Amino acid sequence: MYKHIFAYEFKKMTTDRTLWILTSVLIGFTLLSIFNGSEWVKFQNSNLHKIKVHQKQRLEKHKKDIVEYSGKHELIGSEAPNSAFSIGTYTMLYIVKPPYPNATFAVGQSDLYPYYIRFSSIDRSNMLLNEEVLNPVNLLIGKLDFSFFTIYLIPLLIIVMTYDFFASERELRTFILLRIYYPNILKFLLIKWFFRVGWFFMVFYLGIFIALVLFSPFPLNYYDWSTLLLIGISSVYALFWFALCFIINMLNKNSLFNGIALTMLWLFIVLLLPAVLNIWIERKYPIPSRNTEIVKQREIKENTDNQGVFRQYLKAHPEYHAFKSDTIGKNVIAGWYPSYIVSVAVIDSLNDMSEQKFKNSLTMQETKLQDFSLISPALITNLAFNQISGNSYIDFKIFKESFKEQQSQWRAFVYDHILKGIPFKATDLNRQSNFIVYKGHPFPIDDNLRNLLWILILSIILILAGILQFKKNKYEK
Amino acid sequence: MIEAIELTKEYKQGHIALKGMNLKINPQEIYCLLGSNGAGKSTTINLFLDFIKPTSGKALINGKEVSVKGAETKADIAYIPENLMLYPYLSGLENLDFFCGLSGHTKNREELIELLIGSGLQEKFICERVKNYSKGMRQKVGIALTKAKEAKVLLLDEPTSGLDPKASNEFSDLLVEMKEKGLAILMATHDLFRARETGTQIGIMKEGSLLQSFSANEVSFKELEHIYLKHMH
Amino acid sequence: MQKRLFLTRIIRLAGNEVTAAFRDGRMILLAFASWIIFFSALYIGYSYYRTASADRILSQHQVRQLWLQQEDKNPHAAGHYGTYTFKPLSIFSIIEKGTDPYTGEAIRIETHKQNPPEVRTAEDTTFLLRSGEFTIGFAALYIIPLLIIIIIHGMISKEKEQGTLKLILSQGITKTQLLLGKVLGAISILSVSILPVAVVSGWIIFKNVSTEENVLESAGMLLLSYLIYFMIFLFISIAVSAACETTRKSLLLLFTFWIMVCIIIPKLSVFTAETLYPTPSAYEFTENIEKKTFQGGYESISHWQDLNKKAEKKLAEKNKTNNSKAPSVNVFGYALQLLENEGHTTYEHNYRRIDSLFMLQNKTHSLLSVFSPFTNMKFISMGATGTDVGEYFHFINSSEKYRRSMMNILNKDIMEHQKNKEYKGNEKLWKQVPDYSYTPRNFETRCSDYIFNVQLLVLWLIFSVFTVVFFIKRLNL
Repeated sequence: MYKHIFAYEFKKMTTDRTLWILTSVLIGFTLLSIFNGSEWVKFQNSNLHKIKVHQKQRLEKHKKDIVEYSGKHELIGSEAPNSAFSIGTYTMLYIVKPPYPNATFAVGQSDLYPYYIRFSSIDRSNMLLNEEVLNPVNLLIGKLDFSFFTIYLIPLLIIVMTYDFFASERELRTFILLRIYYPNILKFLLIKWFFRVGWFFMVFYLGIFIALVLFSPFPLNYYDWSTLLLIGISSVYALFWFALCFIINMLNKNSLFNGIALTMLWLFIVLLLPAVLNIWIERKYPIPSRNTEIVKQREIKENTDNQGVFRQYLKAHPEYHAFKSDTIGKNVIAGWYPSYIVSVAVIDSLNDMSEQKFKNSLTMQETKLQDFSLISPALITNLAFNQISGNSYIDFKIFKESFKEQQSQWRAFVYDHILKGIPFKATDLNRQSNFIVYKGHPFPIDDNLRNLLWILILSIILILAGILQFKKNKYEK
Repeated sequence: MIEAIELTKEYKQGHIALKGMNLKINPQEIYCLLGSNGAGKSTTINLFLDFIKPTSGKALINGKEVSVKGAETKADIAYIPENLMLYPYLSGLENLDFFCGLSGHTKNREELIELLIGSGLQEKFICERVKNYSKGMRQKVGIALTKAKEAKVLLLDEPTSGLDPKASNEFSDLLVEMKEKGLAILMATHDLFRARETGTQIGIMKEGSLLQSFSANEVSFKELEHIYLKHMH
Repeated sequence: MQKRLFLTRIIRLAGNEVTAAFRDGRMILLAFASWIIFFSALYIGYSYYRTASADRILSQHQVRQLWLQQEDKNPHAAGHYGTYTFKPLSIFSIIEKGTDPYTGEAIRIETHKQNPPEVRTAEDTTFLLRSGEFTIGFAALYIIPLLIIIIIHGMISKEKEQGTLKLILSQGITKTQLLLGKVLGAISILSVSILPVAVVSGWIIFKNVSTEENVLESAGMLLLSYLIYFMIFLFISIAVSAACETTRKSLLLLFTFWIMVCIIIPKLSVFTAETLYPTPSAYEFTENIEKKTFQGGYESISHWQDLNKKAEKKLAEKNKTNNSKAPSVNVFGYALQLLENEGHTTYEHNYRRIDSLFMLQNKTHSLLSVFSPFTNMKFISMGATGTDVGEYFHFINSSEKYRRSMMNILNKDIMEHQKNKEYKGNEKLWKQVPDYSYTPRNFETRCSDYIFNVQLLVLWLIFSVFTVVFFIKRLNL
């Protein structure tokens, strides 16, 4: 019986071309969106590869220059290749956050935040541009990645596929015959509905598989259970929309009503609710003004240039007392260096404090978003994509913290050499890699599993409610 | 057999659509229900189809109460509404196959074609999409469905409405053929001529009541018209 | 008499539409939904404008005070201390934020370096911003067309289904009168929703405008463009309604049109623009500039020495003395200016390259906007409100001009007055650097960037008019 109904559903949907159009759109956009995501990942990977190669070349050259220079000079000039001062100021290290395999599916916030940071012992993040060179118009419109396709477009495809699977039978008046020839109408409708669900998932998974085979920037064995979790969440999100279509159909209205109602629900769940929630969260946990922080930093910087402040700082930090002279050991110090170090230290600590304020506010916003996400499956899915792909704000925040840690370690090493007047040896450059790969941090598995379960339960509730509603309805015609 | 025992239907608004109908239709009988719009003909049909529940009384199909054993009774019923709608993008053959499969009476292609031809559908239209069918052609598919289902009971609601005289005549012949095969047939209609010609029993309804019931042979066409108009005033 | 009958018929038809829309609740639903959405967006936009605008004005004033109040120091040190420029916020940001969240609002002004803008508000918000900011522009571009479709899609098709269309035309009403009546009715229904919002928004804008020029022209342009945009959807909806046999099909087609035009084509144009005109990575950008500009460190020593020699030579030529050795401190100042000029060329070249790539990408968007009135409207809206990429570049150019004039003043002072390393500038010198004042581009300049988009929008209007006339004429009863 199922085969018979499936076969005729297939026939009906293919003879008026609906199924072929929907299948083409589903496969086409799955391929395109994954291709888009993978191109961005490839771009990131190719940049990181370039940096790695160049850093290696720079390191080799620098070692060579140190070996050539060493032992040939009484005093080590402030610009010498083995001068700790020079190395501290001009030798650049990189810390990089390579994209995860799951980043193929979601660009997330990776086009807004830096995924590689250059630093020296003095300066944090001293590249001309910290983020990629992207047209603000493109950032505004956004990329058509798989996460966008899943969250925004798949519900619309499902609505087109399913909005009138019951209403059409009544409108075509074939419902009358169906009631005679297959009295268990509910079962018939469930089979019809299930055909659509089954067809959708078959094409969906096939599309993902083909896209990964064709476009994946990583070998397929790089994808693991987290990818399955991501696809699982996308699947329950799609199921939620099927369930919504099911219950709307069971309200026994006409297909016009169904179409409008489902579109309004889409608008509400996918666009309006997140926008309104965002506004509420921004007002409840406002981010401080960065411009105010800039002004504060200007004030501090101006004060730290002041000699009085410099002397006070040296008093508080006896480890820097060596800066009182122009040479330390055999190293010549440039005149501006000590006060610059002090001002950098003070500004860095001020930056850390003000940055903490921003981080706290934004983290609070993200946390509240996580808490309230249960009201919108679109929000849950969006969060899941960002987290599992490693492209959420939290991922970049932790990356930045990791970078600061690395920078502190390098700074401590270099300053130690400066303050003790020890020139650098070539082997000292191996102390810390000049191309540090950030290992990443695990995404919240429990939260995502809980969210997956929540959407699944919601879908089941909707389906059961739809079945109850059907039984309540009186079909008098 | 089709039987109604004090069958009554009252709607929530207080409107009584059917008042205590008593009716018995045996196999090899065609019972034609005549009456104006709103007389209760369609309500009667819908009660036998279990599309609506009776307020009181019973509707029985082959001794089984419809409102209690709806699914079981449907196995014996075929129905042709005033405007039989099929899936427009499937052919007549495919529609027949689909509904046959649903009812559990699966037939092979040759059998289905034979049924359609036997129901008067021209061979060249069998594989055409139903959206290109006329009303009469769809009615013929409906007849084929009835035959395929091997139904014992056939319910019809204004089946000849909108058909031209030739198509109407063909349809009547098919009904008689099915009656001869042993079906009990209940037909609601406005068509006095077809009712007298095709029916074995005639019932006249008005405002939910079955006013008069008699054998079709007992009256001439003129007399039938006279009786009908007398009741309608 | 004929003319009166013509008008009477149109008015009656329109009146009938309005009555039907009022009685079946569509008008109330549309008005209610629009007002809630628009007035919320207006309130949110206005609150944002007041806070953000005041913040920027205050910050600009404060950094100026810090510049003037800095202690006496060497002008070159003052050049390193630098200042900041802040981009003022346009009053129209209450309607459309455009690319502003993705472009920086502050630029660090310092010697040797042309810094890119910093402080992008997008980095300080959650990922929900990427779904779209809840502004009047968002509501007007996405939601109003959807509401228009829902209200209008059945205008003709429902009449066909009900059989009333035959009745109407059998009264002697021509198809032209039918079309005009329907259009007038639709406009009347929509006016109830849109007019109050337009009036209140206009009142707020004019009440708050202070120094902005061309507000009237910009507001007029914006209003007119939005009206054309709505009319396009109105005509297309009526056309599809006339073309389709059923209301259901009409709704489906129109929803598909909305999805294609408002969501899919813009995203596809991002993909196309980035594929055709890829921008360099931040790393590549930094490398290209740093390869050709002075970076310090032991590898730059010879470059600095060369510049000093060049400065000596040029000064000697200028002084036209037999003793070609000019006082060394003036050489230092001159060498600094040479370094500055060198940087100008490299920065100019690289930033201009980015600018031109962005422009080419935007041209691609414009070309593809042939298929989407939404994209055209988005560009026009950003142009009219001064929240487009053009205004962003204008801010960058204006800040760079300011930076160069500042460094010219400081370096000139060094050249003319610095006799030894202890030389310090004072408040008199700081005051010579003018306060930064930003003048937005005038209306004509802004418009010139979007003439093509305006033309396309008008073409879309003409196309939609032709379409509706065509399908009404072809109306099959």
